[in-house]
Amino acid sequence: MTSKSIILSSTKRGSGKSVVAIGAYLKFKENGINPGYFKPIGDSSTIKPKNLTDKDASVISAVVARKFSQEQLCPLLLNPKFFLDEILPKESSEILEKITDAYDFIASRTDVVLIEGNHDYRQYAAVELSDAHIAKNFNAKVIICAPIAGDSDFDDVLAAVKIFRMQQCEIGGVILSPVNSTLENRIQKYYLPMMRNSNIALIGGLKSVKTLEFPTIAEILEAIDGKLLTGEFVKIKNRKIANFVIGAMHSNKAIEYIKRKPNVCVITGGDRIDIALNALETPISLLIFTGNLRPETSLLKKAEEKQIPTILAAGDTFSITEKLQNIHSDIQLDEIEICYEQVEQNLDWEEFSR
Amino acid sequence: MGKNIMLTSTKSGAGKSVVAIGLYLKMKEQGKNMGYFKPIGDAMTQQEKSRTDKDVSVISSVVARKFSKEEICPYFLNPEFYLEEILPEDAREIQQQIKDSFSNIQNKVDHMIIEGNHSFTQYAPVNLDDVYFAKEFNADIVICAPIEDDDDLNAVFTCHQYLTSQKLNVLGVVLNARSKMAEIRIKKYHTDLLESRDIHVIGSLQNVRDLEKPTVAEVMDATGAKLYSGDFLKVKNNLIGSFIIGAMGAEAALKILRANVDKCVITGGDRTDIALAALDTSTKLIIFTGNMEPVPRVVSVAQEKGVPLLTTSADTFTVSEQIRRIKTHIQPSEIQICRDQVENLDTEFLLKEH
Repeated sequence: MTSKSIILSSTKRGSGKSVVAIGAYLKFKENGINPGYFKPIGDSSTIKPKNLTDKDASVISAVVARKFSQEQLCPLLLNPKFFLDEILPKESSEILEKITDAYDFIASRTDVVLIEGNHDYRQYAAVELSDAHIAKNFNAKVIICAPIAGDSDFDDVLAAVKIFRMQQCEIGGVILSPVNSTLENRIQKYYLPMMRNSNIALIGGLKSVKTLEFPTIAEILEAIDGKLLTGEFVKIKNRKIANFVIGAMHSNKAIEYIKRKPNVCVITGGDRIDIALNALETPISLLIFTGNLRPETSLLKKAEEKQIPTILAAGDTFSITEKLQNIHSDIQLDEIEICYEQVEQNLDWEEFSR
Repeated sequence: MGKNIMLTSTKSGAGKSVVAIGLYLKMKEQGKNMGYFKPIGDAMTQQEKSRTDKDVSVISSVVARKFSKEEICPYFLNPEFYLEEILPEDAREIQQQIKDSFSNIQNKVDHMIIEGNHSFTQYAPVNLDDVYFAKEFNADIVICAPIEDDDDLNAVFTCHQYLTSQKLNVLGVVLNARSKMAEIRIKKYHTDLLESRDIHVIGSLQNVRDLEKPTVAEVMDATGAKLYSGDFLKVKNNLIGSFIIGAMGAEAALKILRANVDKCVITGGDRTDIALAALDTSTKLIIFTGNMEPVPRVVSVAQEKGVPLLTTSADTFTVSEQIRRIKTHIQPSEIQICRDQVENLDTEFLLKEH
């Protein structure tokens, strides 16, 4: 028996696709259905040297355990910004064949395949490998995941539905994830009636789980290309940072500020010994020195004593904060349970799995 | 017969206004009687004094006194919260109002340039999108797209497919190269790929970086920071070339401060050392964060040098985040740049019969 398949597509990044994929995987399993996971095109720019696969695929492969290899789950890697260096549009049918082979391998061994789409529904349209192309090829039902911060995000949801339908794809429904309670109300009041008119099912919406969005120290190190000065990488890599504070103001004021927030990372120039010393007296989680200004040894000794990790970064503070603000935090192994709860509590499972 | 050209964009930052203003001026030089129309303005950028949105405000200075701002842009919506202002069933009245305004201008000119919404998907749920107006106005479409890397090309293909499937006549695309690297990729890959799929590349905007520099007024708008000293009328249109966070010691700061011209320095109000060092270099603006006022000496030096000072209660990290979200608008002094930019476009082609 060939399995049925569901492709999770999103209107933009940060839609919670991976959360849904992991949660739904566990839910299927719980119901005695043998699920498979498949990510046709991984993001080569997120490859970690150790596992040689896309980050999303790497977390899911821990869930899927040893059933399939990472290469089977994610057969192709492309760099989203420079994919035209890697493949010619002419080659796309060949590539689709390769993807199909990998898909068939998983589909023939499972009851249902959860396909995780590209970063957004437009991605790789230029080489005819967009989610719509993939969905059509595997005859997969499309579920659109969309973070909703305002009406313009809803405009995009309807446009995405139109584009999938234009290419004869079946829309299984949408998952609208409101960023706050005002938007929850807008979904009920405005979006839902309009979706009914267009014959689009609302499957539910993920609740915002702040901790899922907090970056780990490992993610921060990678994003700013920093060097760990104190702290043992293996021990601290998975610690989460909830708040960033720039130590630009004079010491006393800065300390007051730091004390008010939990899991703080302080960013300051390596020559601001005053700020750094005071910060080390507070329960901060991380200290970043910018401008490639290596602080004096006595300061690092103190950081070691207090067991506060410190990082040295080469850029100026403004560009370092930019990099920190752009981190897309990935799901960590210990967060898998949250994914399950999201699906269990917030999605209409019958509609999802129909 | 006159031509109506609608500029529609894949996302904001496409350079629609640059093309609209430049095209308007070029056609006028050739003796043509041109009209400009923007069906729906952005209520969020609506200015109290001029009672119109920022784009329209600039173009109306180009169009001079031929038409009033209300004629050029008859309607306003808030992109993120428009559904409480207008439900799908009310759309007809608004459509009619906009169509009447359009005819009023069209009857008096040879050709019309119509500036579409922020993106091709905007306001589609209530039938006030670019697709609706292009059909009503019998307009040919030019897709404007910002290009940073290959990913932006996906949006061009998606947008083109969306528009042509709704039976619109798409003349081609104007690519707005956002960097030197983007220019190279456009030449190396994008143009050929688009042409090979019958999407005509009308040209590309280049080096519009200068147009993207925010003004002092735009920085104040985005951050909500208050003017502490300085003459608003004199400084509001000054362009900011770069942003620097003064988090390091004064000595290390000096190197960075010297290396950046026309900069805005963000620092704590108690960092007198940084402020004075900044005022000694090419600085256009200083923002003091953390609700701390600068000392009188800093104020007097700033006044002497004509550098405005702002204060805000927000912390430095938050301010840097707000600054990154600034959307800049064309300034009246930048109109010539727009005119020069359209020399990169095949404008003959636009007015031909298709």
